Amino acid sequence: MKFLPLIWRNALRNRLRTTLTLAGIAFLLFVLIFVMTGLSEIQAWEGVAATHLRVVVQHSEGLMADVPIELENFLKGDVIAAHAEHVCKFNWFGGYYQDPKNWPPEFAVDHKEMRALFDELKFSDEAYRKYCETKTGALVGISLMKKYNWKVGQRIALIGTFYPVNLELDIVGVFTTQNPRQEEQMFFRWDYLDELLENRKIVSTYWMKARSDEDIPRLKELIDAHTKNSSAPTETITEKEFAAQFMQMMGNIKAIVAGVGALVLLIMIMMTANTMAMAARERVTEVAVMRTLGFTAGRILWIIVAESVLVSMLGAAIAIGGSLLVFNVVKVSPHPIYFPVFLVEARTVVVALLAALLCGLLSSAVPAVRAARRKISDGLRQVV
Amino acid sequence: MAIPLKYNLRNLRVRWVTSLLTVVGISLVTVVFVMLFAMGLGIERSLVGSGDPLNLITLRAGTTAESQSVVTKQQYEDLLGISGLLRDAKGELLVSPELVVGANVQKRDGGKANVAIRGVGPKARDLRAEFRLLPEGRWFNPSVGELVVGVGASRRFAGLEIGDTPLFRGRRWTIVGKFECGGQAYESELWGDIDDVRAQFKRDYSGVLIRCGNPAEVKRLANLIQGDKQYKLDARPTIDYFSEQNIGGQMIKSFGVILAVVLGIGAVFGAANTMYAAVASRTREIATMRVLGFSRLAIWVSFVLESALLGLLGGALGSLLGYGLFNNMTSGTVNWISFSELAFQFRVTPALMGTGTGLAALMGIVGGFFPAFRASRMTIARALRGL
Repeated sequence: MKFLPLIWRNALRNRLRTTLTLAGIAFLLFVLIFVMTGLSEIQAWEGVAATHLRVVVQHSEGLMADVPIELENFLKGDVIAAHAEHVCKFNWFGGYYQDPKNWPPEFAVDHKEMRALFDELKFSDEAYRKYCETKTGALVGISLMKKYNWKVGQRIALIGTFYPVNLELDIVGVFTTQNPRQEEQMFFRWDYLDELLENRKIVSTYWMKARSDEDIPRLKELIDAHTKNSSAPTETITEKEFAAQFMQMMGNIKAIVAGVGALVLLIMIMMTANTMAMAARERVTEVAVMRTLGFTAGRILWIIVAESVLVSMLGAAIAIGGSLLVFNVVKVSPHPIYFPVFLVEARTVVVALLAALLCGLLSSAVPAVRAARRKISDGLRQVV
Repeated sequence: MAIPLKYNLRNLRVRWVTSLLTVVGISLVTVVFVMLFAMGLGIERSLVGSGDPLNLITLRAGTTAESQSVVTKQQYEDLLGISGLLRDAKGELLVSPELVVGANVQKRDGGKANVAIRGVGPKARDLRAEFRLLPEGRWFNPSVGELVVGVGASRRFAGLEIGDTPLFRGRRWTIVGKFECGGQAYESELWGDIDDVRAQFKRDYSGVLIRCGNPAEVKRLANLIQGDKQYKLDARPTIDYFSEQNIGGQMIKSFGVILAVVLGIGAVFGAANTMYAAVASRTREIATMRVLGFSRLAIWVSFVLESALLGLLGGALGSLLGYGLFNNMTSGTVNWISFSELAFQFRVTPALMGTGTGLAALMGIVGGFFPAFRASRMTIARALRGL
């Protein structure tokens, strides 16, 4: 630690060079954080979904197919009730508000069951009472309310894209939750959707809450065995698996993000290595003098590595600070429709720090080892 | 008089470690750019390429995708009543009623995705100029549950080869043929007889494809259908229809631009660093050249050129790497409008490689701008004295 002032002075010796390196690292790490945040946002639902005990019953051929409403009797019957409760219809509506660009997640659910099923949503008893009384009632997440400047009591029209009907909803209440992403959603009543669809009883999925972790595999078995030979075989999955389906549809996003991330890290290492090589070259004589004064080779190595790590970490601090400011404080989103929420997670910050550390260590490895190994006599003789 | 380029080339070689690190850094930035754009171009090609300037698609009013649209039999028959529709040599209308549905199928590389299943009318093939049935199979027979599979779908999904019998909506279907369609989105689909698919999936038509004789006719029919409220249908050229679906391609391209710009700025700092060091180590050399009579401008140009050369080398290397790694790589993603799988190939075009190299050269020029300025501003006396 007592060499910190020396390391600091070394880093500042060529201010222009250090500044350029710092800026380069900061920009590159910013890209890394940006890409990783995109990935973590795509996967965010999976993370939230894992914390509840919700189970989804969908048609085995996926979301393009519906499940028959007759299944409800079985799901609410004694066999399943022993393992799950709060069976609830759940249809994604996919309508837009005023402009096709405004496309919030809207779900049609059973109003009687949804409160217990989505118990992480917080709304007043008053709001819930009105929601149950009003067939066109809607409960809206607080972020969504703010986004479109909606007020409780307001009537809004949603134009259907997936279903050939349009909704006229009355906002009866606002909900908040721990997770900002859920606050971008809204819920309305399935019986209202069904009325518009001329009572065709279209159910996209059934959701329910398992009584415990152990009940989940049992539920999968029971429900899927029951429908196996029917005209609509089902696939019973956890909410996490349900969310993961969308990830799978997108293809190899993970591989692309990992690839870009690795390339960015490589570019960073190249750049920093270049700087450190230049710095070490200039200091050959100086290092030889220090060795003469009694600095061990190990200490010389350490001092050079520490300088590189210091610069990398400073770059990381700028990148992390900058991205937190842009995404988490000012709340800039690269694409408001696909990323209504775009927040840098703690995990991403840790990865960025580790990347910077790795960059600092690897980029200085060669110059530091060479400096430490060079014979004092050679070093003193060299003219820079 | 200008300083010969050879001077710069030799300098890059003398300081080869630094040059190499900079060139490789810039080349990696180019690789990222080329990769993302190749992907965007690939998606664009398969979607936008599916449009035919002579085809018109009609959908339920207000919808933007076949998968969301419902067209009733009555509406379809109304359309057939329009006078002046194009007929083929046999006198039959060149119109294809179609229905697009989907089913989850296991992908070859793991996970599941929706494969689009398209019920088509007897004239569907005549409406797609690029359609070609592969010789190892045959066209389906109507009403016996037969399907033909696009080469893209067959490549992306497991169990969709000729002879396979996948289960969709409680019925075993038989795949009897395989087709190509010029790399278009149709290659990601399964095709069957329209009435067969309608019956089994319990759905009306999703849209009607109409062939027109010339572009003016496309416009006329579109206006006619759109303008007449009795149809309750939207009609648009398929070219526009497919362009609107290119959300994925556009997203990846804009993502590519953002990344290229920010990474590029990072690379510019790296290039600037290299060039500052180059200038610093050549102080006396620069002064000597000035004494020999080279102008400040010549010095400035020489250093900017040297930096541009670094960028150019990096760009060329990166473009070649990108070409080698990604060109024609097959992949798949979701078509956001239909929620079904879209197979595509990465496309590293000469234009893309040129753009990548150009951008890299630009990074070099920007990076070398200020260091070159410093070099050109040197006071001769002081520079000569300096160690």
